[in-house]
Amino acid sequence: MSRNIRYSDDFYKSIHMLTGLPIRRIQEYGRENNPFNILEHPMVLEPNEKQLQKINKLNEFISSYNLLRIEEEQNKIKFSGPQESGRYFTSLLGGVKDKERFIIAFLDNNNGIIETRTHSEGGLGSTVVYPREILKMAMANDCAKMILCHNHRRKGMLTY
Amino acid sequence: MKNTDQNERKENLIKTMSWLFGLTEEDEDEIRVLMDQFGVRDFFLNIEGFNLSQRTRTGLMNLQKLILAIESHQTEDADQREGILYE
Repeated sequence: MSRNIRYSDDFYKSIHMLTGLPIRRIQEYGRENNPFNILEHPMVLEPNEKQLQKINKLNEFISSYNLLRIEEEQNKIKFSGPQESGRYFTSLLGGVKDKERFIIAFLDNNNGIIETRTHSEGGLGSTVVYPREILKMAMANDCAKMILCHNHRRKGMLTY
Repeated sequence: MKNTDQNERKENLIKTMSWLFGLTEEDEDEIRVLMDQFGVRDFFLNIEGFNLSQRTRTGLMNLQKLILAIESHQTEDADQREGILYE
C-alpha cells in the first residue's frame, strides 16, 4: 500500500514538472480518481493547449519507451502466446483513449515480428479497415501469419 | 529492419525529450551513446550517475519518476489480473 502512495506522489510531481499542470489540481484529482487518467484521458484536468500538447508528447514517449524496453528484453520480439502479444499491443495502444486505431503485426514462421504497421486511425467510435490493403502489405512482407489489433475506447482492447 | 525500427524509436524518444525540456546537442549525443551502451531502461534507471547538464538531468529525473510509476502501475494491473491482492 505504501508503495502505491510513494509512486502516486512521484507520479504527481513528475506530471506537474513535465506538463505544467498545477500540482494541487493533479493531487485533488488523484485523490478521488485513477491518477493515470491524466495521461489516458487528458481532458479530465482541462489543460490549456500547451499542457495538452505536452501530455500528448508524454504519451508518445511512454509508448516508444515501452516498446524499446520489450525489444531489449527479448532482443527480437517473438510471440510465444496471447499474453505476450497482448502486452506488445497494449504498449502500442495503451495510452490511446481518444481515437480508434487498427494495427497489424506481420509475423514470420517462428512468430517473430517482421513489421508492425498502423493501418488506420479513426475517430472516437470507428476507424476504417480495407482488407485489400492489408493483404497487399502481407504479401509485401512475405509473412506467414499476422495479428490484427483494434482498440475500443470503452471495451478495452481486442486482438484477433 | 528490426535495428532500423529500434534506432528510429530511440531517435523519437530523444526528439520527444528535446521537445519537452530542450536538450543541448552535446546532451543528445551523450544520451544516444548511453542508451546504446546501457539499453533504454538501464539508462533511465541510472541517470544520476551520468555526466549530463543540470537542466537535462532534472528533466530526465522527472521522466524516470514517471516511468517507475507507470511500470509499478502496469505490474499491479498484471497482478490483479492474476488474482494477487496487496494489503
